[in-house]
Amino acid sequence: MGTIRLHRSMWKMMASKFHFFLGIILSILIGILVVFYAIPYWWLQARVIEKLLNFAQVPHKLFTLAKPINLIEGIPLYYHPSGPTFQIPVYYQSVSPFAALVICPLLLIAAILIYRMSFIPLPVKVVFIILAFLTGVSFLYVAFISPIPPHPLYRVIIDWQFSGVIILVLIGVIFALTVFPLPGSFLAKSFWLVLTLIFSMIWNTVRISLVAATFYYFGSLPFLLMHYLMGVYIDFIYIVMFYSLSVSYLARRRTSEAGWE
Amino acid sequence: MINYLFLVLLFMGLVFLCFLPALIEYLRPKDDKPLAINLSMELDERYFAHSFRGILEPAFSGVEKDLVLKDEQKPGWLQKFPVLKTHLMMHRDKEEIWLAEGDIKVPAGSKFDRILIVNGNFSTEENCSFEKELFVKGDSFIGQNNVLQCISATGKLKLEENVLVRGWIDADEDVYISKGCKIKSRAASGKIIWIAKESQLSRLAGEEFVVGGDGMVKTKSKVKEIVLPIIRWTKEMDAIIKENFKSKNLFEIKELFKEKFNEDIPEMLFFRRARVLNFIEPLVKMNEKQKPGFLKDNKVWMQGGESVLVKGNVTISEGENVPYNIIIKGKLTSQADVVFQGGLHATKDVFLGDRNHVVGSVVSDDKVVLGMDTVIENCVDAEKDIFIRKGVTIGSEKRGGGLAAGGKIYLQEGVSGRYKVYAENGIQPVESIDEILSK
Amino acid sequence: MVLFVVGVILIFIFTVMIIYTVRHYCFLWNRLFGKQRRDFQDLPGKYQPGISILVPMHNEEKVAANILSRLVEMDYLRERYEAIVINDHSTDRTGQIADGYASKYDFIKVVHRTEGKNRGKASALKVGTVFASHEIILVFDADYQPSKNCVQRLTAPFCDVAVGLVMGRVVPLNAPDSFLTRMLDLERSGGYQVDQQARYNLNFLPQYGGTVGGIRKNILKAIGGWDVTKFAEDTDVTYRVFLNGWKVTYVNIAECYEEVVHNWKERRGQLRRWAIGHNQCLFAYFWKTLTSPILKFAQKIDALLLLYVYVIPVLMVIGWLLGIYVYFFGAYWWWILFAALMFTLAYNNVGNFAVFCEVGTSVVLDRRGRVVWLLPFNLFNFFANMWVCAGAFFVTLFEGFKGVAKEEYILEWEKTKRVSGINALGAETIERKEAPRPQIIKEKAVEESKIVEKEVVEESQTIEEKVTEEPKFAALDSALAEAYRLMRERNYGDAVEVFKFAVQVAEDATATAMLEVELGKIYFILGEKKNAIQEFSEASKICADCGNEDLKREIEDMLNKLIPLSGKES
Repeated sequence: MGTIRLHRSMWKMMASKFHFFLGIILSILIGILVVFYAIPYWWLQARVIEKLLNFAQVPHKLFTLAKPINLIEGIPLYYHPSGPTFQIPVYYQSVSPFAALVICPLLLIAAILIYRMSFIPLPVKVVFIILAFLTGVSFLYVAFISPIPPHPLYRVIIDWQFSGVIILVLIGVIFALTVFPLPGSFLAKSFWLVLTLIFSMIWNTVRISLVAATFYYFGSLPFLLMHYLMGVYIDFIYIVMFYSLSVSYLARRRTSEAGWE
Repeated sequence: MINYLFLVLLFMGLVFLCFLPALIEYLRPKDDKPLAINLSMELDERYFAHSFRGILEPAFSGVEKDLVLKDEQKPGWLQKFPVLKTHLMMHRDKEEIWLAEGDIKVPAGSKFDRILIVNGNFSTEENCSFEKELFVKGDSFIGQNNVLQCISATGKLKLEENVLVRGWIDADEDVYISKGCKIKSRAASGKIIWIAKESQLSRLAGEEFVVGGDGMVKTKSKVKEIVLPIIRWTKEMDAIIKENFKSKNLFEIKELFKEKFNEDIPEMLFFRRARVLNFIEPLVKMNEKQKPGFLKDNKVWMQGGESVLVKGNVTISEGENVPYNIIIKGKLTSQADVVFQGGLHATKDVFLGDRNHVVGSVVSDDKVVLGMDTVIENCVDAEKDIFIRKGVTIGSEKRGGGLAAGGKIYLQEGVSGRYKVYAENGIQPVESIDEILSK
Repeated sequence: MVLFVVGVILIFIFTVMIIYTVRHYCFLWNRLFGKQRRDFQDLPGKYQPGISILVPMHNEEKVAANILSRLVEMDYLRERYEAIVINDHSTDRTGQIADGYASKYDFIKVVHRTEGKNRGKASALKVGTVFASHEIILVFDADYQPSKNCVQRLTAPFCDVAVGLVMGRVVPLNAPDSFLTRMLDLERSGGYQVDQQARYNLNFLPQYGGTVGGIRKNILKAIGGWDVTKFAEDTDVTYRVFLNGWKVTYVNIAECYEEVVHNWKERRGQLRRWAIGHNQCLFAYFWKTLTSPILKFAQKIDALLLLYVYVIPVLMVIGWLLGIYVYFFGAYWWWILFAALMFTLAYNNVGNFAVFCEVGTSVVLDRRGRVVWLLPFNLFNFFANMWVCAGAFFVTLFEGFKGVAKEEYILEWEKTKRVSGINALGAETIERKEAPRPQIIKEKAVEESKIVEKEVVEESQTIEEKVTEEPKFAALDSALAEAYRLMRERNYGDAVEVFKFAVQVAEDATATAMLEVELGKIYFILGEKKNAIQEFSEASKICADCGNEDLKREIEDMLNKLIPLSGKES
């Protein structure tokens, strides 16, 4: 007899606890891999970054400080030099107070004007205001406080902590919690996880190269802006993208329903 | 510098890639329609049968019939009857449908694997098997140990002992389910559903249902609804309520009114009147004087919506009257002959004694046990099992009915009710509730 | 010292974000694996208490007829059912449209509010409640389109005396309209299908949204009625009912179409109103929730977290500002903390009210597909929400108290602009692949409905005529919608009947020919070639003069395919 469809609120989710646990195991495995292979991974990444920096004609020195160690032997919160480390020549850009006092009001006026324009969507206005604010703050800091960023020297040394290895673990955890429990094939979910990890590696490599090159070409000011804009926060853009692709794949493959009676 | 710009472009490309699927869906939407809601869907307890009949009816009206079957193409029991055959696309398959005219009797041991429509009465002997659906435009009698897929009858439907139905059954008239029958899905009727012991179903839908004994005698009792009278409240009456509400409980106020006005007013109405006069603010603790005997040991709040909220387990002794809706954060146990003038809700078990009367509904977040000859004028709903002793009546014409459990429903002989019964883990008529409870 | 204080604040904000993230994840987990509560839906239809449906309207001439038609068709015992339209200071023809329906149907009553300072939805509901004569009050906004059984589904939980408030599910009808409507569609989906349902499952507090829901009249009176000084009277009622010991039930199956805002300006106004109203409730009920003698600990925590939902954007802004400070003046360790905070914020708050994973899960539950690809765009929604809600918090602090203090605070209607003539039945219409042909029929229907609208404006036409004019076009539209839906479900038998009806209703030769072609195709699928040929031949005759060359060619092709086949079979 033909299928009699139940209302969607009565459909069973058919979620998979088993896949969830497998996902957790996978994320633990990724964590273990990261702990033991972070530095060799960083070596690989560093070589690619080196090529990109050479392409971008950014002078740099690539050190190998101490011997490569695994992460267990270092306390993550404190700087622990190991593996290849890039040193970029410092180019402290100074801004005159007068220039800052001219630029900041201009940014404010621009923000107000854009805010008043009704044809511009609200999110775009908000993003512009945030960027204008950050730019203004950066200018004021460089002009009135110091052209040198307030961080110890190791913040202008690019080392393994820039490599984005931690995000790989987080991606595993996020997928384990949100994708693996959904109904669907385990292979498909794993495929999407691996794809996300690969994209993350490529993304971080290019990002690091770009940040380093920006620091060289434009100095501390844009570096300040880019560094805290393009830090961890922006990674979620691709994570959500891959999440949405994996979910739409799983949703379309779903064939089973709560049985009709 | 130019190479630096290429690097920027490369990164922007990656950022663009992140938004690409979203852009594709936005610019070339494939899934932009609003979620489909069937706005004309009506609640129909007999949906399966109606839908089934709706699909089959056109099979033989207005559509050219493929073939009149010859005798050699028919099984023996259909030889004497004219049989037409047609096809209908259902889901992905093409189903063959036979239409037989006449009162058909199927001999013992027969098997049939097509959809069959019978334009007449239909009966089977024992041990027959029907792989596909049956639609009978008349009365239908299914013999012992038959196996059916689904059956819909426009007349009466009777299942003899130990019939197994893999799907649902439905009839416009009464449905009789004998001992040992198993119906995997729903039993629906336009009239009464009679259920014998040791049968198993998951849901019932009909005007009434009766758990009969051996003989399926109609033993159900008429529900005597409790109707609260309409009182013309005078200023004097309001003044007495105002004066005594905080210092007396409702039974005492009732006695006072009997004395003064010679009116026997149900306690619930005093509670309502007090609320109308704004003597009850939301969530005010009941003082000791206001509490009835069975709530003396509990924390009680008057909620103002004709309800009281009680913390802790409650035991109500024999013959008591509960003059409001009662919401208990604990277990409720009542003895015999207790009257609840409203409904009740308990977060734990509900044990109602014999001959209790509940004007509203009984809802529990745990299990419910209903004593003998108890009357529930509305519905009963439990998250777990429901145990119903002999002679219980559920539902009334005025207030509705229904019985729903997240677990299993055990029914003893003589239980009757209105409209619907649903149990996630099955409905089971049993010999003795105490035996089940003791397990 | 300053850094230390800043650090402590950052840790506090980080902790709050983590708590919300965990909370949302608990909801997700419950929806995936937990026991789903049954919400009395095994019993609807058999408990039919008296209901009064309140429909507050302010300048709703474009949509009034839709909701009133739906209420007329509602499947409920007529003697236990009344609809009260509150025409609140409308300056258009809302009142006349409502009066037209009231003159035709006894159960519809209209209350015209033309004087008095108090305006706004809460005020209208307050007045409407006075006229409500039944025990259950349901509220529908004017742009809503409930299904026939929606009311039965919503009233079913009231058989439990502990239930005080019921809320159904809201589905955006105008989802395809714009970028914003599509994003809001996703947000609603996650919010209702996962968040609300999980809160109900866990015995927490599903929120009453002010529409597609109901309350017992005696409870409403007991708690003091609608509060006209609050911008969010729905949140206010929710908390008053919950804190007084009654349950709030969410009924996922009671679905109703609504029109969401379709531009950012309206979105800002709406969000601002919600945020101010919600924050007013925060100030009013925070302490009562914390000290409630009847709520369990987990219920209190969740109720408090719900109260703070519109404060989160403020915390985010503070977190960002402090993070910037820390970045410029701080130690490295605080920067790590800030980065972690930002990360958590991002995951917790993409979309602000429905976390990205809740949206994704709801898409799976609703068996939708590609719509979830839009999720990355929710980032923009997040910025807008954050901005508006942060601003609203400060407005509440400085202006909102006025509303709390004054008894008669004039609240104006903040309206979503209505799109004319959207009828929900049209929503289920046309597959994109088949778009060219049916679209012509639809366009014709739209054109003609525009003519009807024009005629509606002319004073010479009576209301009764207008009411009878509409169904013709609605009938064709609805017939098509129904027919295509049946075909999608492979219920070809019924689809044939509906197409036959549509043929009768179609006025145009091209439209008739197209419908005959569709009929022919269905017969072909059913294997009834003779009927198929008949239909195509009919279509060919009609189409001979219609001038549609594509259609003629298609008919010819089909006939050429079918005739040799039928010849072989005979």
